[in-house]
Amino acid sequence: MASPAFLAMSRFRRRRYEECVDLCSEILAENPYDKAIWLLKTQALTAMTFIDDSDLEELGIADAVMDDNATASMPRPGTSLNGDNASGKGSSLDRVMRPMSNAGRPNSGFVRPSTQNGMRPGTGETPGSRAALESAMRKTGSSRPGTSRPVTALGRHVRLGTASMRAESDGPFIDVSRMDLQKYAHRPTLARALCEFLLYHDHNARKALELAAEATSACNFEDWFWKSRLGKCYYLLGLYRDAEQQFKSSLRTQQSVDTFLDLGKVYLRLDQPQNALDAYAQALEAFPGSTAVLTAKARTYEMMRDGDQSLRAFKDVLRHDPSHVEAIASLGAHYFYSDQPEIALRFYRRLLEITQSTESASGSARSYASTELWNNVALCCFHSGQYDMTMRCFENALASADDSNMADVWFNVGHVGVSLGDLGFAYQCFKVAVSIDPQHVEAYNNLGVLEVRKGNQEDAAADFAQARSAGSFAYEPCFNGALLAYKRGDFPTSLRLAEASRVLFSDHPETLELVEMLRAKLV
Amino acid sequence: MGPETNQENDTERARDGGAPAALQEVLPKTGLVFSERGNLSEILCKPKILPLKSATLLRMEDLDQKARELAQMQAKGAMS
Repeated sequence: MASPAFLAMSRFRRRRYEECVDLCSEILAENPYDKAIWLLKTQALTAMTFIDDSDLEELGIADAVMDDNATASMPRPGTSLNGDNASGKGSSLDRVMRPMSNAGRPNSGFVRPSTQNGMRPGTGETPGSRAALESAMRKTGSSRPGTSRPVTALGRHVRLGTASMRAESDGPFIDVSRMDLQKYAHRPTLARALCEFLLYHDHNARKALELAAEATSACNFEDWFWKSRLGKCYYLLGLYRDAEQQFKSSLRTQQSVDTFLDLGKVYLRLDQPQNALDAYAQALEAFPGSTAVLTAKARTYEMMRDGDQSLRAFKDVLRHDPSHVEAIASLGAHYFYSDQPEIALRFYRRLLEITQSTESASGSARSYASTELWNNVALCCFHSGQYDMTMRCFENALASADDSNMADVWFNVGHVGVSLGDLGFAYQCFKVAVSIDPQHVEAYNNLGVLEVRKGNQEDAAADFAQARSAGSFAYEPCFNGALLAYKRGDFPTSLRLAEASRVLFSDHPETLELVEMLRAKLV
Repeated sequence: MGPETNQENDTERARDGGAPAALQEVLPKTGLVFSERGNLSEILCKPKILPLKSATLLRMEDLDQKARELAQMQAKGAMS
């Protein structure tokens, strides 16, 4: 019979955290003052709820609307994340080729917490204005009920903290409000574990800040760890300038990849991507070939809509880590949208191989080999002429689809129908897509186009109008609506819609031609 | 009526002894180095590559899901 303490440590090392916590609780019930076991339990609880925070968090609605952290309200081109729609021209992020996500950004190959709902209100909307609020509300999830976007970024942390506290049946393990933090500050090992626990389990940034402030003064402001944790707390509380100072000071004492990434996050929140890139360049000097930093660099370029640089950085990532999922997915999407579906297919097939081998090794139910991946493989197969595989891949995708992505898969199946000329089949697919997601802009637009071809102009106009009201990120419904109104002789409506289309995509040649034709008629 | 049938009519007329009409050229609208835009037509939305979810996102969804299940179970326990 092994000693219970040894067994608990062994379970911790084998990542069987729940069993470890149970065993620790038993030992602590006998001897509540066993510091080693207390430390182990704290670490196990932290590991259970740990979330990788090296990437930007999702912005809450209030953050997106009231965001006045941006340093410049009218930034020079190339220095802000709020690029206009014209940028990205010539690269694979060009709007002609790449559709927009409902966050109003070019569709990327990989979705992260910060990109799933859109970053900030679009350009030209002053923070706090009605337009900004409306656009933020519209970008909430896919505007379907039930997807809960927190009001603020801290809100999500509070929610996760409550959830993890609720999970403990016999009250919270550590009651911070009753703790003497000063006492802990003088015990470095315990204090570090406690700080991580407060940050990642309780998500209580204020208490963590208190502890970190005590601890950093206890070690004469010389410990890089406490400075970086102070920065993290300031960052969570929204005090970005203080966070920047702490991170810089921490880096002067000891350089570390995490701190560089955190510093970059602060700059991105302040809408200063160039400073973030500088920080990453410094990090790469100290840690050449660090995939975390290279990925952060690639993401930043992508957020700035600099497709070529982002591509180069992602290729760099793959050179150092050939099974980096984000890089493979992003490159796959890039090649698909730059008209090389055969190469994209090779990337996605590689992903399938990776995920299948890791799946059989770890046995986890959730993995990347999902609806999305099968859908992408199917699209690449179809466009590279491997027609026999296409439908089978779509079947695989639909078999594992849920409400959040099934509509998109049916939309793509409909596309295959259109390309084959089987318009009846395509029509049915688009109908299924809008029955699953009544806010599916693209499916409504394509339905409208099919109605026009059938000669049902009234239905088509209704479909385009529905598509426009469901989302304002796509220019296609505006242009199609304008064209339809033009053909029916309703020039004022046509001009209004054509202008709307031009706002969304200023370089679209057909829109410009239509506007010119309308001007000639009206003036 | 396409350009080819036009041409045929012209040659027929010429054979019949009518006024020889000028031959109409057939010019292709697209070629290797040029293309001429036709009429405007409706545009379809492009096929959509679905972005894969990051591990962090999957983990957050998992945690959310677990928390929701736990809350439901506790609510049920409180009811009974």
